Amino acid sequence: MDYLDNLEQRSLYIIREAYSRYRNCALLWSTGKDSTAMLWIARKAFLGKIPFPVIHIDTTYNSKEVYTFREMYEKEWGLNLIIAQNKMAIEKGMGPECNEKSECCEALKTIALKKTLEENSCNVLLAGIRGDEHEVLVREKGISRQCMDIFPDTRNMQATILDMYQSEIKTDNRLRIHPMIFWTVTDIWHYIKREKIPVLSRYFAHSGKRYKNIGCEPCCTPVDSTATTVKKIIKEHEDIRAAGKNGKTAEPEDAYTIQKLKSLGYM
Amino acid sequence: MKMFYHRKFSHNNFFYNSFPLAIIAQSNNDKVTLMARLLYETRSLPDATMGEIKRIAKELGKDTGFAFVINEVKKEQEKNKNLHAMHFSFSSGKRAYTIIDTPGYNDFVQGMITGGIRVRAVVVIIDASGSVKDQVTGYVPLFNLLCFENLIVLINKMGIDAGQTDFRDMKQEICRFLSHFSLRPPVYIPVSLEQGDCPIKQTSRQHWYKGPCLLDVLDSIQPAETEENKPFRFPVQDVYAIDGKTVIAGRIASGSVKPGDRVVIYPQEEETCITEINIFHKTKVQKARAMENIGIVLDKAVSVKRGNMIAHRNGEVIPVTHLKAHIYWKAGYPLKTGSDMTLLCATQRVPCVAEKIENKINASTLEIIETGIDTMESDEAGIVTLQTEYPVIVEKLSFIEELGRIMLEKDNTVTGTGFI
Repeated sequence: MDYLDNLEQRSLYIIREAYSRYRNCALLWSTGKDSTAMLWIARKAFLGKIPFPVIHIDTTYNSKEVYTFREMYEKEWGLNLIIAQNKMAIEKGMGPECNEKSECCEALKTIALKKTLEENSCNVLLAGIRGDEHEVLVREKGISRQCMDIFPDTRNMQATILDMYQSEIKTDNRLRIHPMIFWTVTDIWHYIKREKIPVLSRYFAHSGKRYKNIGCEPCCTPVDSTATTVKKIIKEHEDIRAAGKNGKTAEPEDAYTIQKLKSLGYM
Repeated sequence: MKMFYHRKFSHNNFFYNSFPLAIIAQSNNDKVTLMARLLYETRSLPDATMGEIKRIAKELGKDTGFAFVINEVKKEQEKNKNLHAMHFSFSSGKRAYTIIDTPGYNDFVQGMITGGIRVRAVVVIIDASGSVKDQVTGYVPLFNLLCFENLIVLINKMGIDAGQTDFRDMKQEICRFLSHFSLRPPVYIPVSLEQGDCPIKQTSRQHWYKGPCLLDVLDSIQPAETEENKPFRFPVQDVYAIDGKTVIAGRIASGSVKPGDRVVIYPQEEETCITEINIFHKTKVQKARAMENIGIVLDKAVSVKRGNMIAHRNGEVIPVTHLKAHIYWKAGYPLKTGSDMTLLCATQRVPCVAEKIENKINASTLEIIETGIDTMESDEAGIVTLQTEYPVIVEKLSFIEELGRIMLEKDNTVTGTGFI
């Protein structure tokens, strides 16, 4: 078993454990690389058929490719896909261009997600967040043991040892579970390469630019890059990391990450 | 997570294959000096730091390089003092290592008991210029509670005139203190961390010492035995109905399994046979190994549920109702003998009672607490006998890790964690 198998098996165990303990789960899928990798592992966990809904938050500001990708794999992987949309806000013209970004994010993501979870009686949400995405997440818990023995949160360990989570459902009556918390961005790309997981073409460089995150079009800015293959993306990430003095995250803390965390109630 | 990075340590691959160790010393300066020695002399620093060292050495003389690293390590500690653990990585050439550094004993004890920190070796620095008795007896509760696998004692600051006889005398003195405990005998090494004698290489200053250096000892520690070579244990996680088949899902805690194996389901002790092993995207799986998440199909319709344990027939399974566990209590209120709780071990969940608190220490100061032994306050750690309502299958942590770690719960809140 190599290190990728080890990461995969740990995430897989957590996904099964979440379903075994709580049943009323849902998996959040943005069509981005992290949540697609999580979805891939969830399919392995349940031998092909995920027994709970997969939620895609649709702000209507995603790129066309996101919708094509979503439809294609919804069918191919037999997903019970639920589209979370705040139709009322969309009809009123809510959007990043005419509103404050945080206000827009709250309306189109947070409220849409909360409503969908309520409507579908889902109390437990599996999110494909990685621990190296943001400083806030270094302290995130409720996951699994190990994290390669390096996940440092044991001080407030109301929660976790081994792969046993906190049983208590949080005060807002929801539990977030992060099966991918101990993966780094480089691990994700290595896994995508090994498993040949389909990803959006926007991750690869076109005319010297590529996207690092997949979110609402107006809020995502492409970065300069010549990485046209997964192998080149891995090299790019390793170079960024090696240039840093310590283990600072390879990805910049961008508006997308903040929005993603906000919509999940972190900030 | 924060750590001192080297180019090649850029993702989890490094940590998966690296050897975790911890350093214990009364003075943080000694600890930092040893960490700096290991990082500096093995050239395991980030490219940017190495460049800076070269620049400083050129300007201020070559001895300044090491002082600079000490400073960098201290700065890193200071910057991350709110984290429970920091990680410093180095490579000996033979093997990669991660030093897990905690700000205080509390984080270390808690991390070790909960499994948040796992180390395969512990390096203890004894300052020969201070009271050896005080230092060693101070650590004894820690050694006793955490049962370290490999202990290496560095005797530091022995003085310029010290020789073979002084080292032998000091070694014997420490041995005497440790002899009361069933520890694996430690390895003793005389060092001068300041001068760089013996952590990495022998020097002429310590010509009388012919034994191995710290790095040699670390490199000689055998890799941990894989769980695969141990008896088969399969805690049942869930039961799925897939295409008309009943698939029993779980992760193999130890050992391996093949289709056709005769197995017993515990606690009902029902014997059956495995007809099929299911892994997504794989057909006709011939064997599954420890740490793999699989689904198994049995040859007859038996009643299996989450919390059951499957093992090979004659698999030496002993269900118990009494167990002695090393517990870190963190409930916010005291644990009293007679308190009822729920014990969790792998997927097993069983009501239990704290029958007896055998001994306890203050996890921050490592002080042994002898009074009020029928209660254990929050943030105290100790050895507790638990009585379960019905039999559970547990193993020693050193034997099968997954069945050696436990969690205690009351009203759906985790109150304590521990190991067997």
